[in-house]
Amino acid sequence: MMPPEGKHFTARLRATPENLSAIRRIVDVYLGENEKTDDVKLVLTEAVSNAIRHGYDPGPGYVTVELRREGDVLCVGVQDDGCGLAGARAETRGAGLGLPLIEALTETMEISEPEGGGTTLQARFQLDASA
Amino acid sequence: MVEHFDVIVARVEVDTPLPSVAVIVLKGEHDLASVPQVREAIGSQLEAGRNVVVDVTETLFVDLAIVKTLMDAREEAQGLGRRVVIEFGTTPVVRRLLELTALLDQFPHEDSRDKAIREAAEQEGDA
Repeated sequence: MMPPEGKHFTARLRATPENLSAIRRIVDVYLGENEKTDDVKLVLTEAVSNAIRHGYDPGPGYVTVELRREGDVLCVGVQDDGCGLAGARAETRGAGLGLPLIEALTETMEISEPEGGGTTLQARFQLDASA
Repeated sequence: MVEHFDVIVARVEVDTPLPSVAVIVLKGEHDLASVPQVREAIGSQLEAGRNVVVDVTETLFVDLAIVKTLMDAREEAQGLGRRVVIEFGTTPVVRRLLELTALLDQFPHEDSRDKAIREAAEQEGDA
């Protein structure tokens, strides 16, 4: 199943571990039974987990998750308002596998720090148009 | 507009089929939210002197936080002279992450409960 061309979904949630499951349900609703569904869930879970672990001090902030289909490409965005990449770079073993995993599962992946603060991750997945 | 999405509850069940072996079954979806629950379940069995089988055959999702918890548990077990064995099934997303992280290369693993228990009990000699 492919989401309709141009279909755009945005959600803003509290960056808490308890919301990770809800984010995966968003992927289920958006993508349905697509060959990329599991990979998108893994990537979003890791990206939002990074925001939860490193993005906010003290206490949880918010994270914005965006899903958008452009032709045969699924664009996924995760934006937090936290303390930026410095925290993410201080990752410990195991947690430090997150970014390599995201790179392995996506066509392209880019992390940036917007001028207003926080961290933005943009990832792209190639969808199978014949599915 | 506020939408609500159901969550899939993470459950941890513990069984002790042998005096020296505990089976910890992870059901539902496991991620950063259930790390304390999983860590405590494995740690308490290791501290009680048991080897541990972690059964992920019915697990619907695991993330890297759970993989790291299992890696930490393996180290703790080695320090105590115990072992942690993975019993894995065919849930595609779970298998995919275990393969991508090469977790199965680092753990003894079996595809059935009996074999996993035997593997875990091997060094105790009471299988």
